[in-house]
Amino acid sequence: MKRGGKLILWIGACLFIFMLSSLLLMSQSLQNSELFDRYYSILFFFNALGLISLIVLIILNFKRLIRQLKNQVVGSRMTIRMVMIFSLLSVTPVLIVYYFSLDFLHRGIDSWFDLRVEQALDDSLELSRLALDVRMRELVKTTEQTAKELGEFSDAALPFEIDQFRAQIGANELTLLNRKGAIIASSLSDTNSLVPNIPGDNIILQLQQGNSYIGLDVIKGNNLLIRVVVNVPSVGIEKEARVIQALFPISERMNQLAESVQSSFIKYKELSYLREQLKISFIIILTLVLLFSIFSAVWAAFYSANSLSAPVKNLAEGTRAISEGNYGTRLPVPSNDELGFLVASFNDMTDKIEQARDTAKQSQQEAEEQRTYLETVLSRLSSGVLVFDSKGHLEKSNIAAAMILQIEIENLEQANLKELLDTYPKLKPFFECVSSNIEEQLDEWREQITLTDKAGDQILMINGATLISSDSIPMGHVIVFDEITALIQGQRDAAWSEMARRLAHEIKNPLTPIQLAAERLRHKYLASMDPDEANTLERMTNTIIQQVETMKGMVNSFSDYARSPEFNPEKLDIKQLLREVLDLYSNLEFSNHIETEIDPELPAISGDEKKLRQVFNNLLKNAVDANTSGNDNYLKVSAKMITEEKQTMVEIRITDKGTGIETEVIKKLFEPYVTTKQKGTGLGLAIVKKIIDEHNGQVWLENNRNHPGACAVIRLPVNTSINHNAKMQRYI
Amino acid sequence: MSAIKKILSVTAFVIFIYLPGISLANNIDLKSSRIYLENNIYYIDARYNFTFTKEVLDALLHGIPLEIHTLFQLRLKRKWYFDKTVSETKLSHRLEHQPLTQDYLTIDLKTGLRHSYDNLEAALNNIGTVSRQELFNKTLLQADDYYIARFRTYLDLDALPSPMRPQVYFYKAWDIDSKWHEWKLNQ
Repeated sequence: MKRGGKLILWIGACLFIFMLSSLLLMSQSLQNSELFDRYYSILFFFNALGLISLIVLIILNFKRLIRQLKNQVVGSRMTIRMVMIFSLLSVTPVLIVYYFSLDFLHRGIDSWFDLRVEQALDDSLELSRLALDVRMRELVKTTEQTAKELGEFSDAALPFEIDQFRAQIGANELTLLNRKGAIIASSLSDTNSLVPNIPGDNIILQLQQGNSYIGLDVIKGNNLLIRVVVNVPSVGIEKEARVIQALFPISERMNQLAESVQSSFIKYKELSYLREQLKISFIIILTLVLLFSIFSAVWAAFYSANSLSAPVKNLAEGTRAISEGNYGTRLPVPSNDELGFLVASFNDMTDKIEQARDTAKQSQQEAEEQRTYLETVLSRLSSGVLVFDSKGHLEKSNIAAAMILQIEIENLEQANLKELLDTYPKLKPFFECVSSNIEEQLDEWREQITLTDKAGDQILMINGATLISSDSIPMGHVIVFDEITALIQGQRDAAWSEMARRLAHEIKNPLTPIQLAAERLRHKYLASMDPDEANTLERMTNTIIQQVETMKGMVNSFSDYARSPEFNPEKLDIKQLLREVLDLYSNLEFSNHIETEIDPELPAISGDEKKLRQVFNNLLKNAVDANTSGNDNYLKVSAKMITEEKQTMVEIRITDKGTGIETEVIKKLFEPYVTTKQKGTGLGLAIVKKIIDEHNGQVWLENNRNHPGACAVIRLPVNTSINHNAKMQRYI
Repeated sequence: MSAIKKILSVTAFVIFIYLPGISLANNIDLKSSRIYLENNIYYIDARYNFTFTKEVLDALLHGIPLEIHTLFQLRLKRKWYFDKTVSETKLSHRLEHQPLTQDYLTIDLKTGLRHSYDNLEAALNNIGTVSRQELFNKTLLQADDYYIARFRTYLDLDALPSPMRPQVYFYKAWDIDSKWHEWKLNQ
């Protein structure tokens, strides 16, 4: 229990004991207990104070409960329900007892009083008066007779005679006074008394009016005396008016009886008068007890309800805390009962949940680390990686995949194969290959495909595997693919270079002896032969010599292709280079047909001037040749800067108006020994392609859309360092 | 509930309790009073007139004894603190009705002296007459100090039977009190 709760309990207990004691004392006080009679008012005050304190306590509790109810505090509804039940259970019997107690109280007090008793008391009092009246009338006559006799004596003689008269009439006191109340003579039977009892002013006044006085009087103690005061007749020498007072005793028995009757009458009258007050007082006491019981019960109900609902409230708050993720919540165990067991179980549960949460958190952290590690590895891989789930949804991909497939990596997230196929039709061969292999559920597979677009073919090597769970259930598929275009191209180029070098070496060596031998034959035998034969010999040797020359040119071309001069990149003004090459061609007879459209703001690029000059020469020569075969000598050279897929490039277009290129051939023209010319070696465009590849650029041929002829397109990167790529190309 | 509402509620409650007992009767009138010095002793003469309400008379005639006290005090006036009672004298009488003799009996509770009167006026006259009552010695008065001599007469409600008390405390009819009458004194 909390400290505050203990304090409230102690205050409540002290208040309860105090009020109970106070009520008991008050009840005693009502029964005329001498001890508590004087404290009745204080007790009443303290009881009222105690009740007010209880009411204040209850109001405070009630206000707090209402506030909790408004704020929807957990457990407040249960507390108010328990308070209402407890209060109803305790108040109902108390109210029933109160009702019957009031009824019995009224009946009980009313039964004390009876008209016959009252009448009997009145009668006995009247009887006592009558009995005394007879005696008093006799005593008046006796006193009046004594007054007559004493009237004959002077004031001076009276003190000597008065004792005799007192003894004669049987009075306790006999006093002669003037009408101003001054004593003339007095005789007392009680020798201890020195001063006689003097009649009051009202009696003297009555006598002055000529009336005698007779009455019962209580002088000392409770003994009744009969007081008789009469005027003394003025018959003697004394002219001053005088009065005589005689106090006669009443017999002991009569005194007792009169006292008894009077005290009983007074008591009955008092009780009769206090009947309603008594009822009210008892009702007040009963009501105080009732209120005390009710308020104590209600307060106890509040306290009990709070005590009982506190663990439940704690449990509810604890559950809420856990639902909000606060697993460190621990509740105080209230007691060893069922509620205590419940709270202890709750604490055990939160312990276990917290441990499980920590373990899960640790596992999650480890998984996160592994995922980060895997993503780092994947992002560093040059191979593209795609992971599909069992339903064909793409779950994971890496940057290399997006780069190889030339699509944004964001577009790959949460897509499925069909959507990817619809979105990227140019990647149809790739996704069809993946889809068909996934559908076949092969454990592992490997396939090579070619993607074709205007920039050329892209060859991909795809490896796939099905991911199997520990329960041997297929979880998904992982696809790893590499672009091997450059590798294959490199291998092909290397093979052609090797073949060209061997061919040049093997063919070039015997050509010179053949040529020399042919010249020697002509020189030795031409002069000695007849003209016809000589003519034949000369024609044949010339043919040999010419063909050898032709073969020499061909071998030199092979040698040039096979030889790979050093690549020396430098900052290069491409505008200047183009103008120089075009100036060379301006001397040709159809130079006036060359149209140039070169952007003056073209940036510098990094490139090998000699090699690029060779490229432009080759392409311009091809264009001139193409025009020669066509009907128009128009030639257009344009250069501009473009930005495509965040990469800035210089695009150079060389357009002719020849016959154009057949579609089947156009993609193979950059391969060695492929040509459409009758005299061509088929190495010119292969060399161009090789040089442009070294510059990390692109080159392709396309037929014109609006007019006949073809166009050679070169794209050279502006900001990319070509060193690394050049080295890579050589390595491949 | 606002503070004004609370005040109104308390006021209404007090009026409700006092309303049944409101009486216009002036219950104890001081007719004359005199304080005088003789032989360094202060004495007082006073005379009260009692007018009992119907409720008080009814109780008396039903055998309820009434105790009437006259309290005399000499108090030292103090500037920064409560006044101090230097001397106190109390006269106490009980008034009873004797059904047998139809008299009214007064008893001096200090001396035990009893007097019977055949009417209430005479009995109250006896109680209400204070004659040459010795109060205090002049030596009690210090120089440079100021004193108040005061007295009042009242009906002692605590001496009534306990069942009556809860009601009489709240009834104006039972408020029999002369209030204080004061004289300023110094040496």
